[in-house]
Amino acid sequence: MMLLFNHSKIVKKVLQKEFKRLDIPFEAVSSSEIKPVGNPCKEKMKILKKRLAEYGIQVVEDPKEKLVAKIKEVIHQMVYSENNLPTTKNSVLLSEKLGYSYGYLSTIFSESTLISIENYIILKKIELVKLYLLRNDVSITETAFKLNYSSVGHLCNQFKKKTGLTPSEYQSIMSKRIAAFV
Amino acid sequence: MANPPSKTSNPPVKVILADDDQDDQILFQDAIESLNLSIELIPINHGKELIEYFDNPMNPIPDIIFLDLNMPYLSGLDCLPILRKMEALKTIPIAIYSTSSSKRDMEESLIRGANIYINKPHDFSKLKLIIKKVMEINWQYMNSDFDPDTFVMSI
Repeated sequence: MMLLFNHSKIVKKVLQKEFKRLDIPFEAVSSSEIKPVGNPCKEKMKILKKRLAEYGIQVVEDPKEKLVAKIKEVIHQMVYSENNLPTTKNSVLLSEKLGYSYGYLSTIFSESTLISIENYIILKKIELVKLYLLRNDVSITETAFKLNYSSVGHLCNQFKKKTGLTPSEYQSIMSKRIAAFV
Repeated sequence: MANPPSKTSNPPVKVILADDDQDDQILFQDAIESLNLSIELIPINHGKELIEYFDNPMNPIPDIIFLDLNMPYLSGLDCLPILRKMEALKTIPIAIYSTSSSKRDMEESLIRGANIYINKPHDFSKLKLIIKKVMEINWQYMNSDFDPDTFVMSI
């Protein structure tokens, strides 16, 4: 059974359900930021965090970690915007969206994630390339175009550099693995 | 979001190394210690001992497993399907750590559910670099919305 799903829709549903269960009203600030309305008691918030953790949803409180989460969110939107990838440089875009200098953002980011923002963007793109490789309806040329690679060769090189495998090796291994586990 | 293993105030990242070669165990331990990351290494001597480790529910589940291919009693390739069937290990990355550079071993390992294939380097500084890279990438899978099912890499 092949499933296609929309992460943000699922998260939204889960949040609605769990906040309602505890009778805490909230408003959405962005797709990954919400604000409880009023002042819910600490006990309730503790239960809420525990329940959300069961879904793999973590509440981030440390201000630096919050900023890192926001950087990741902007990068996610950048990579997943597909055909209309912004022409502005990533560094300029991040700095504009988040209101901090790029130097500050990259220091905070690599302290928390162990890798640079540039490297993270590449990994994030490779993750999406993998998803397309596992689907049969998108060609590698189309994938390269969608993700703003200058050519198929560029995509293949970056894929090989990061995973050690060529895209076709990856496809072959994954399809054999799926067959072995069914 | 958890903090990276470099911050000592946080619980260390738990790493299992299953390898029957004592020299390789020591080398791996030295490499980890010199990396300045907060890592706790759990050494295991062969495949059978690894399976027995997970049969005891009191033993902590690691954040990543490094697994040698050539081991007595139970080889790394034999361990893979057993480990992958364990509910607690479904999303735990497994890195094969082997002297074999054969493409067949690499492919077979990844097909059987390994995430990473490492060709054991002869050089200590290379080993350090490889472990560092693996821990960095693994950290992204632990802390971002990366899908562990698609995690495959060969170094």
